Amino acid sequence: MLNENQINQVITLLKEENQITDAMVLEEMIDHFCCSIEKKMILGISFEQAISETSKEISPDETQTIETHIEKVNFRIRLKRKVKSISAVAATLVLLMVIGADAQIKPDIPPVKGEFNITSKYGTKRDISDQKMKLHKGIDIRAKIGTPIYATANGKVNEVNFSNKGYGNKIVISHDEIYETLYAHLSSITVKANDLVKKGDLIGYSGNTGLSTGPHLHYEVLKNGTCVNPEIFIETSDE
Amino acid sequence: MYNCPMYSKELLKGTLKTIVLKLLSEQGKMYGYEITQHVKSATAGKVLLTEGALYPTLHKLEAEGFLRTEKITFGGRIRKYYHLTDSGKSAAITKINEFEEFIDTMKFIFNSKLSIESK
Ligand SMILES: [Zn+2]
Repeated sequence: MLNENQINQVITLLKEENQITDAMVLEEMIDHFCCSIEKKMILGISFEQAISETSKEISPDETQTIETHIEKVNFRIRLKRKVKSISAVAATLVLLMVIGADAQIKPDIPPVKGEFNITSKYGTKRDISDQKMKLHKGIDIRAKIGTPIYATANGKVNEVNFSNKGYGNKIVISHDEIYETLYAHLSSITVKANDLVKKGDLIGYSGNTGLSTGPHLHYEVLKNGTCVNPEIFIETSDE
Repeated sequence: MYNCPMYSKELLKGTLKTIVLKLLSEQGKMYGYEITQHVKSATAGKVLLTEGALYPTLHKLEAEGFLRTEKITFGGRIRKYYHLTDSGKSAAITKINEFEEFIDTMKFIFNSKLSIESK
């Protein structure tokens, strides 16, 4: 039986030499090639020789034929399903609505309008004051005091807190069971706890309150209670 | 479509679906590589089933509702087994009967032709 490393060599061969792109075809060809290699190895030849013989027997032309034919078959099935079934159309509409709703509760827009600069990224960095490694739980966006800040997804204001320590004046919004966003060092806040907000609603203005080394917005995204890189969401929305 | 050391492509064309249906009705479930090896050994290498012919046929039969598939994780890779569906089972019977009848008819034609010639 081939080991993981050998299977990976087969996968590389199929992707690079045979140029298989279809995941389903790839999966099936992996097993086929592995079987062929194993059979040859039982007869006493090395893995290297067995993979090279198999690769000669089943040429890239052969696997291309397979992929093309199977794609054609699948295309026809999809087309048939589309034409035949009205309920499929209904299902698609429901799906689009679900996806649409999902898009509203995912924090995938930036909290400021227009171009913005990230002055400190998400992740670990050395704290200047005590020289310890600390996790930067969010991103810092350059913003002069009074820059409008917007909710990055639909949700409910979970917390509004005025302070001159730590995060300074901050807002926490819950978007659904999964996501929360946090906006810190604000100069003023225009929402209150339990307010319902929509994606893109004004919630406050940036500032320099709390433990801040200069005017900026500190922005966090929490997924299931754990902070994640907010940039991932903003970037994917560009697609 | 076929690489056949003994029989011509033309002769075998159109029998592939029947071969696959027949094999699956005998064996219950089979995966792609197993089918190619089975055909090879059962016909003593006279029919060599290429991958480029087999896999599209399997997927076509699946699309027609004659086959269903089952995936099994097997030593770090996934093996896809093909089974006959109920309509696949009846299609197998029809196709096999049709083919056997066809062979009988061919025999009849060729035997009678031979007997005419021998006179
Ligand atoms: Zn920060």
